[in-house]
Amino acid sequence: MPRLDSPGLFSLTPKILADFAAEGILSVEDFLLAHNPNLDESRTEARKQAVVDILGYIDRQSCGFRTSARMLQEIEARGERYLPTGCESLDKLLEGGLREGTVTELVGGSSSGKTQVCMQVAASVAYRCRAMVGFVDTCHSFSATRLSHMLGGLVGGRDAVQRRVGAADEIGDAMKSIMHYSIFDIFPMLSFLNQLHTTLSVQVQSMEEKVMRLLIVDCASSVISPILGGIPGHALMVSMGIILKKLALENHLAVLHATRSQIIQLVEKEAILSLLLERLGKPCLVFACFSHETSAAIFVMLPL
Amino acid sequence: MEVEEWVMGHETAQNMLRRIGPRTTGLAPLVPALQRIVNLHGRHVVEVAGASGSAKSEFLLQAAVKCLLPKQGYDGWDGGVLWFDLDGHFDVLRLVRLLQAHIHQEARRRYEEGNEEEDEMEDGEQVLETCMERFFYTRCYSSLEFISALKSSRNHLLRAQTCGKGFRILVIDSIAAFYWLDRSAPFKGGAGNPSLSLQGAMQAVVRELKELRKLSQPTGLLVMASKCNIYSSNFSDTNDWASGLRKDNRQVDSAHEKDSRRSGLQQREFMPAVWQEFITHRLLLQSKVADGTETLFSAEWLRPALLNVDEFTINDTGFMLTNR
Repeated sequence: MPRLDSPGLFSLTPKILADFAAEGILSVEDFLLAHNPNLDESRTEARKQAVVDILGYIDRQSCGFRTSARMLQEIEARGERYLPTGCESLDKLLEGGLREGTVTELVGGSSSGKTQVCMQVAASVAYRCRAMVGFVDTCHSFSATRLSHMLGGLVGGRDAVQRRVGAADEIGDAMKSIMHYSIFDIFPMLSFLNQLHTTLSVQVQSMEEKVMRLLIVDCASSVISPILGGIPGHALMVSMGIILKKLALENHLAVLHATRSQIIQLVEKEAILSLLLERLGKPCLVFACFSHETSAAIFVMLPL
Repeated sequence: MEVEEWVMGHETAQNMLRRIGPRTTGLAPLVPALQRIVNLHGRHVVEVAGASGSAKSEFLLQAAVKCLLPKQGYDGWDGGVLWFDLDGHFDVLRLVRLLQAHIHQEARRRYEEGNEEEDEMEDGEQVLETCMERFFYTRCYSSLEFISALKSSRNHLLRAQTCGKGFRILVIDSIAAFYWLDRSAPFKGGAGNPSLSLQGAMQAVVRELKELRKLSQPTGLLVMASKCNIYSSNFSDTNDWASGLRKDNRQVDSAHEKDSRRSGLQQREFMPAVWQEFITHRLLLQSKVADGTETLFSAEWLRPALLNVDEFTINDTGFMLTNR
């Protein structure tokens, strides 16, 4: 938050600024925290004018209010879409797929298929929606070979590359639109997410360029669990949640993040939707998936 | 003489009722299922507390919908709603769905009573449009953004009042959204220095809310806030506490078990004193084991302390009580 003299408001003469400084108000942040509207009545006209100007400046900086009618129009204009997950039964459970503008949480113990589901979703969105996908990998479990097999399955089957001419190109294009980031610590993670938010906010879309529609964080708990155990750690976890929500809401991404089961009780469930994954039996292509909201269980079979 | 004045008093009870009457009487309950005894009006501050997924945001949304709807036929408050979304959980499509459900219900009722059906469709569309225009929404990602949004809402409030339809409800979805961030903020210290600590931020928020309420005389501004409860006193024994919570969710609730749950997992009151003094009502919501496809919720008024616990389910037209 800037100092009071930096916005260049005319009514903030040095005398008024000294007046504010005597009360401890040196920046806009101090003004927000300390300004008491009740005491304004007894001040001079110049002071009242200064307060009005500062409030006007604050008004211009904030995003402002929208009516729900306008929000509805914006949604209809943008056409918020459901991103297919690549697995029909999962799409049915999610009533269409991952919705843009929401944060979905995938919870499961070790080896319950979270990374497989994440890679499947990435492959499906990259291929079917022709969109960019960001894949943040914190546990070094991302495998490009496995991803190319999944894409092969989506394109037309295992031997599609031999059967169809353009199949290899399509797979290549889809692989190019999945951006992989290796981050193993909370501070690089926060810095990356903030940078992503800034980049996407100022990006100007051209027609040919692909737009990022999905962000996958696998697995969020591995950067959070080392720092939990006190107030600063909890605050870092909450700020990561806030920046993920900001990315989803302001940049219209669908955010999918995977966590281990132990974390779920502590997190304030910032995700809109939470899916619990459990592995059934050894041939591990079949998983059970529960949704907390609808209490429906479905069986997820990932296509090869 | 002073003593005489003190004995005679400032005004009679009848005059006082006449003065504040329009503000408090004649207002239909916002969420009828849960407000059989408790009546809310413009000078109250309600805090809806509960764990994650216990229908707090839903409660606020239902109250907001009831406030937007007109008096005729819908028993609404016919006023505007200011919604501060600090959690990012708001879904405008759900708001539209709830409004449409109420409008259809009313249209069906009118049709069954035998009134003309020609104007129903246009009326419904008109009502929907007016309601959508009265709902003001903003999103905040930090305490400072929240305080600046509160300050800039003054202008909207004054403008709406001059148009005739003032704001009747101010909703804050999750007042405790930035609790951990503010708590971990470094304390700048020094006498008279404002600092972004939890106390400082809450004091500023409460001050702004009081100011907005003062500007909304005579109808007053009902403030409703949701808060996510913390159920543990320390974080190191996560396993015991997590397993305890999971166990509780699966047990059938008898009165004895309910009491033991309340004593075993205390809801820690973590909001600063300035906020706790500001609120006048507190409602505790809990979600229960789902049997079949529907989830049951329970509601208990902690302040005023009513002893009975209501159980309800949610559908588009409101909360439906399951116990009577």
